[in-house]
Amino acid sequence: MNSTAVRSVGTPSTRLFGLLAIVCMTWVVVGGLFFTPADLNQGESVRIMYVHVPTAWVAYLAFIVTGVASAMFMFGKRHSLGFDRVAGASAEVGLMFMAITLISGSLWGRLTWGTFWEWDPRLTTTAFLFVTYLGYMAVRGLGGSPQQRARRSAVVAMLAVLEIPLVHFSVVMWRSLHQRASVLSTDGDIKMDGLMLTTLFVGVIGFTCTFAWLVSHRQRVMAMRDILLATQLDSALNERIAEGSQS
Amino acid sequence: MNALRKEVNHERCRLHFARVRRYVRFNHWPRCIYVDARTKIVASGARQGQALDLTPRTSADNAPLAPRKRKTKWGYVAVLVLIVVGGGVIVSRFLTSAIDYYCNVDEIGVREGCEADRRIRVQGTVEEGSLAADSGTTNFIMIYNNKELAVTYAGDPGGIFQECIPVVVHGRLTGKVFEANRIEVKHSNEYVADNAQRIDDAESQACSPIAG
Amino acid sequence: MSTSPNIARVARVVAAKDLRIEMRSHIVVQQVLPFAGLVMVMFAFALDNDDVLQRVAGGLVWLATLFSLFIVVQRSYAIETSDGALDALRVAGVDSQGIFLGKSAALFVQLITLEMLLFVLAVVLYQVQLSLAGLVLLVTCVLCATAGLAFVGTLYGGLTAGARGRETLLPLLLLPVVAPVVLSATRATESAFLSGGTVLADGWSWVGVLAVFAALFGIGGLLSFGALIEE
Repeated sequence: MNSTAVRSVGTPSTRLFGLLAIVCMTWVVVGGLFFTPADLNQGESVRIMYVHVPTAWVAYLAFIVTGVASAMFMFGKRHSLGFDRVAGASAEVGLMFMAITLISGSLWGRLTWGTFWEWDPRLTTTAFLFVTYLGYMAVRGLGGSPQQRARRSAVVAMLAVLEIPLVHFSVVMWRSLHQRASVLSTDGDIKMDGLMLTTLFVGVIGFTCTFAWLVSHRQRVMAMRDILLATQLDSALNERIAEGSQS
Repeated sequence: MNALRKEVNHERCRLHFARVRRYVRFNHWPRCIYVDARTKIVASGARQGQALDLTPRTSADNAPLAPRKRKTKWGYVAVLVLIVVGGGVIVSRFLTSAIDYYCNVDEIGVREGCEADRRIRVQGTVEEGSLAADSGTTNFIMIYNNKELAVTYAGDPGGIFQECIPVVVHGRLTGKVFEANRIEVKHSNEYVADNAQRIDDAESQACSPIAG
Repeated sequence: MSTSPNIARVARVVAAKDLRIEMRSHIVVQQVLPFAGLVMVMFAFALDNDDVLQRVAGGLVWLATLFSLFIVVQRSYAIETSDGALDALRVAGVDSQGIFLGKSAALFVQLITLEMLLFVLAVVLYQVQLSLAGLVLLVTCVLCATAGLAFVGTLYGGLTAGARGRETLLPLLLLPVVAPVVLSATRATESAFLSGGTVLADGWSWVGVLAVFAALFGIGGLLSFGALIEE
């Protein structure tokens, strides 16, 4: 069995995403820290928004991708395991982005609200979403064959994705300390000035490219790991058959 | 026998990393691994000279070989969707007073959940000129919908606390004064550049926050 | 080929089996109920303040129920996996929906017994006051919440039963899912106890949430239990 050692799972498409991500993130860091103006009320602490808001949106996107991929696995004709791998990779990356959202939001809250955390509807539902996906990762780690893992986690993912509208609209449905959405709001009115808005959108593109890059690589590594396990099964079977034919 | 082995090897999926991308199409590799394994077992049986019947079986004979396909019960799914929607309606319409984070100043004693004899959270705007910070205590007046509330807080509120900004205070109303033991500053969802030459328009608040 | 037994009959048989096993082994009665009682006593030691205890009594009862839920669910599946009984049931072609309903019913009965004890303890240990209207609210709350907990426990217990190293995952998986139940049940119970100035009307809205949750996981469990226990 040949094994041409390879050093990466990069392909031209992931390199494109990676490059775009680096460019956008550099723009956001430089622009966010130096060129965008301070806010009238919040002062310099508004700069955390360029991290907090894009990571929140990308986390939602990641969890929706997990839900959609799980549904395609469960209800597709071939029950293709590739969808399950994408679902798992996307949930992992989404969890990481949600953690960044919570930490950056907590720091921002200390600077503006005066407290790291409080139990208003938005923060409570977000924490709930985070813990739910921690549970999803635990379900994926339960062991068993790839098909069992895929079936179990697909059920959990499809239920968990229902929480995302609850989190996003919690500020609209109830009174909360967290302010309402400035861009993705239900009245369609964008309440942000020029350069801030531009930097925010570049940030969203940068974080989304980072997400795509991470998920592509992660699901390729997962595929290789599954191939490795199956090949070990393959060689074990070979050995047994060889034993059998010798006797 | 050798021809059989060659065929099996030909189908074999190698862990050849450079070709991984070709095999990492969604479902081919596990199928070919398992088909490979099955073929080997069948081939080894044939090698030992046993008569192996490879004709396809139809479901007319014996028990069906394919696993029984589970039909998704769409009736249940429909009920499920209805339940979720119903739950959403209940939570968003009937439980607002319990889930809302604060009462407004004009709702104390009026709105359900904002009784004057409990520990409550009240929201209002810090009135201009009412902020007085003595040693260790902060006193100010909160206003909302033309209703005022005097607040005293033991300590220095953190965050961007200043006059003309909405705040949420946690505490109890004792007599005429609200004793707060926690203050959180609420900022709006508007992001406006801190421009020294900003022209006030007619819609801006009468009370402009001191830029800090 | 004979038709497989219908779901209701399977559910009855499985529930009767589980309850008979419990009646003969007395595990829940001899081990879990004392554990739950001890948890209530521990809360009193930890909080050490009569006013606080009386105000948060509702929450404490549901916390003690939650901790006992893990043990009861694990016990419910331990009796299945020790002799491969669940595998045997599936191989026999029994409808998994019947198994789900039967095990949920047995779990429901065990949890109701547990909660009756806990509420008696709350009245005695935490000096909780209870009126007749409050009692009606409380009973409805307990029935709906326990149904929800039984469905969720059976579903996730089936997920984590069996292989080594899976049992410890049950609390981690179960807690996020039952968080809405604990929240709503606590609010409803506090309304029933009239603690902290709440009124009864609030409690009924929370009972509505509990009913929705129970229905959600009942139907969700019926749909997915078969897929989850399949190995």
